[in-house]
Amino acid sequence: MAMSLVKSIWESGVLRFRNKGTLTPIITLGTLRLHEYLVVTDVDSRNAAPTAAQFLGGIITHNSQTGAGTLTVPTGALLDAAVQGLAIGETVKCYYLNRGDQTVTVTAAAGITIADTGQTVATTEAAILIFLKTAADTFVCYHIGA
Amino acid sequence: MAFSLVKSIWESGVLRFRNKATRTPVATIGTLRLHEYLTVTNVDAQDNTLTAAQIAGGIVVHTSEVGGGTVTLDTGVNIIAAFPGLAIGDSVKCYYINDGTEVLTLAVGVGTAILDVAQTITANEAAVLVILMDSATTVTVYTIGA
Repeated sequence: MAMSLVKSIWESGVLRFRNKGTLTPIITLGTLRLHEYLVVTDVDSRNAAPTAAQFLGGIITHNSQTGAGTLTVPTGALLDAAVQGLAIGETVKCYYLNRGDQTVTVTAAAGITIADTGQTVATTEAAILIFLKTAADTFVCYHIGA
Repeated sequence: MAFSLVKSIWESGVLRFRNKATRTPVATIGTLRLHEYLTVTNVDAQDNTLTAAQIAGGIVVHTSEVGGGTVTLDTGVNIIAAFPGLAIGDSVKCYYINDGTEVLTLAVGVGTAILDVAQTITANEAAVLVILMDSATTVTVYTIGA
């Protein structure tokens, strides 16, 4: 029998999809546009290594400082475990904003490769990180816009 | 009893969501991708007030001219009112393209904040503006990519 981990519900006249377990909103079909639910994580340090859950929150702001820093992605196993139902070929994305005064390089972890390791996020720049699942516990991170 | 401001309809074999009153499309679950309906606003001026209606349309093409320009956000109240059903934590996106010759800087309106006020959109660059509802009357704008 089919099971569901998400539910849809009419709220204030719009169709909202929620996590069935936690009831956290996911996405809403509004009257004009899609509404995407996001949770912001802020990091104040030279280097950042947010958790899989923080990446999945959707926005990471980084007050980079002291010297050139790194943003280390979680392992593929941790990311895969955190996104229930993600199929091979599907993606999740995260907005990353460098609000500090140092250049940041996105750094791989076990099970996640970075498509362009030469690309950096300079101060007051931002990027969209797209994680494409290529196999169980395995992703490629595509780095857009900085 | 639940009421709905959007409706879903099967059209040409794909599932399209429309504004129930105006019948304007919102988004479509296509056979390959999610299709997002967007309306383009063209601005030919040094400065622009980024109105709630422009944000709702989804794409602004700004031919900046004369000198460095300012893109001033509408008020938080107006932006939130433009998206019925928008809840705290929800976000909407607006693509902002500077196809002119001058540098553009975002400026706050009442009830709006900009995460990184130092970030600009230079000539022939573009940004994704992620507008996140923080409270009943306030939003924060995250500028991605310029």
